[in-house]
Amino acid sequence: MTTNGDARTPRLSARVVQIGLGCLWLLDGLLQLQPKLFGPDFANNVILPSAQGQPGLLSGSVTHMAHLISVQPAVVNAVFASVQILVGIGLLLRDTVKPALALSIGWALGVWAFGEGFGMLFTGSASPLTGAPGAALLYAAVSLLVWPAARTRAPPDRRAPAAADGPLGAAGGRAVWAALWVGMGLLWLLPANRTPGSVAGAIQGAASGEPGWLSHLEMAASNLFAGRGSSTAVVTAAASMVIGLGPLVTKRSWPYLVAGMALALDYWVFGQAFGQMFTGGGTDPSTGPLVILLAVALFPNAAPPGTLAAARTARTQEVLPLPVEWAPTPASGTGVPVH
Amino acid sequence: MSSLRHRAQQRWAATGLAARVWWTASASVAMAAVIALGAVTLTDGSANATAKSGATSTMPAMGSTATSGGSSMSPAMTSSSVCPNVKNTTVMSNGMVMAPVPSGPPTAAQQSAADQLVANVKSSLTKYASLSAATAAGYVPATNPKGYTVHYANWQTAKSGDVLDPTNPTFLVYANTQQGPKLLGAMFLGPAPCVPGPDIGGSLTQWHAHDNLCLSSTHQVVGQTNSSGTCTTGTHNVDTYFMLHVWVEPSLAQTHQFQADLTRSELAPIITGQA
Repeated sequence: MTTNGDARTPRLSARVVQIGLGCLWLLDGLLQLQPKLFGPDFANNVILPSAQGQPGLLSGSVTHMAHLISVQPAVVNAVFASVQILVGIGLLLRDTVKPALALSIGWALGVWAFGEGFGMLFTGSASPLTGAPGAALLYAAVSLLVWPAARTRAPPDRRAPAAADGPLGAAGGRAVWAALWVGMGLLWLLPANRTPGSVAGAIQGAASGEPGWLSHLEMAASNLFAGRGSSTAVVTAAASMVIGLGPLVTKRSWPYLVAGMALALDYWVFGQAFGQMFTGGGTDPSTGPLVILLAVALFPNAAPPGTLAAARTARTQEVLPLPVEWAPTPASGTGVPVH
Repeated sequence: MSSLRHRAQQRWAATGLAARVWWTASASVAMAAVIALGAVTLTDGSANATAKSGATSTMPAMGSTATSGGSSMSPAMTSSSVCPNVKNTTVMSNGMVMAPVPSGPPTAAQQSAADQLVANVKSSLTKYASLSAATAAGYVPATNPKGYTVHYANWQTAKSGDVLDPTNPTFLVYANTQQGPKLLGAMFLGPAPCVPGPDIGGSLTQWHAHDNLCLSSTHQVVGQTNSSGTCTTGTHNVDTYFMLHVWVEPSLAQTHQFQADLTRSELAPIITGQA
């Protein structure tokens, strides 16, 4: 939370989101320092699987990248970790926010292309449950939303979401949210995600290599969804569309943002196993925290104290102009119109 | 130009200590990245030259047989690129390399030994009826966990070198059925790469290898070779292990106890819960 100007009310500003993003980048950098990733595992188990099922050109470029990394995995991994830690620290320092955000966007898009195989979107089997459309793309999107816009003389609207401080504004932020969730809804409808065993299979896949407690949790969830992949996909697709389009078509965006955060949290725990951070080979926390951060960037702020009552009154007057006839009668006090 | 330098100097002077450290570190990492890229390119060039004169190194292999579809006994159409030391192999069109077995029906002793193996494996696999029990015991997916069938490997067992130990199978095979994972059977490896295991059941227990699998460095099947016989993902399994399935799922155990792969029609009743 930060304060802005004279008002002392805490506000979810762009700065808060920048700090959150910086913490995630720092976590990425620290995960990249895991011993496993200084060996062939990085190329073979992190990069190469992204080439699976991709069109020829994409498969070739991802494979080539994996090949280059496998030549000197320790050196390359050290560079990767350093860049991510630098982006994280840069976002935490006010003076370096802009270059850090620029680096964040550029690096994230590079990772999205070569490390995540464009979120597997071109394979026909990308699933939001397992992390589509890719965490790196969301790093870039959030970075863009909270890019420090040129300052204007007008005082900021303290009820506006953090994204309103950025170049795309609140409306742009809502459009990004809609694109993300409608896109995820469409991905749920892919044939590969609508088979009876798809959801259970994806959760089982996430359990692989996890510690016992998480593996048991995943397997229990997998059993719950066994044979219910088709219905789960359709219901979740519909829910995703509502979550995405809700903030665009209604005035109250927070219910949709909260629902989106909850669903993203479910994906994160059961389909992404916390980004496989507990396997010793995870390189990022996956999409769950990024979707939540994106929601935070769009979350409407409360009006500052003192102005709240005035704002409510003004809004009530605006929405319900009370005619004299609606005044309660002293006798009954029931508010029955007096004619 | 001089004004640009002047402006840069002014901005640098106005920059705080932390930001200066950040910029310096960024420049250092950028330089390190350029040097690393150069080193990788140079090393790669020399490695390529060496690789052209050497053989591919590989690791134990196991097949994603049941997802391949089609008949497992289709006619031999290609020559094997694996295990030239094993003579008289039969190479199937789906990339399977069948080890030689005695011709003719099994003897009574061979039939008895085969039946005993199935019974022992069936008994020992009771504890792995649920996939969670297998993963708790250290079995991890060695093929696509979303496939119709998934081979789960216990790499510690693979390292032990045990051959045909019914109590300690190297692989367990589960089907992703509409009701959840269902145990189909076990798979055993031969004693060493390109060495088939013992034919305890004569013609019944025919070992097989695969010459078209692409493996990750952790032995996972990550794809199949393309039409030119190379892997776009992973490494071609040139020195593969021979393997033997023992199916214990009731609908398979009657007639397909040791079949190298399963066809879709054989799997369909199991996947849909009709078996």
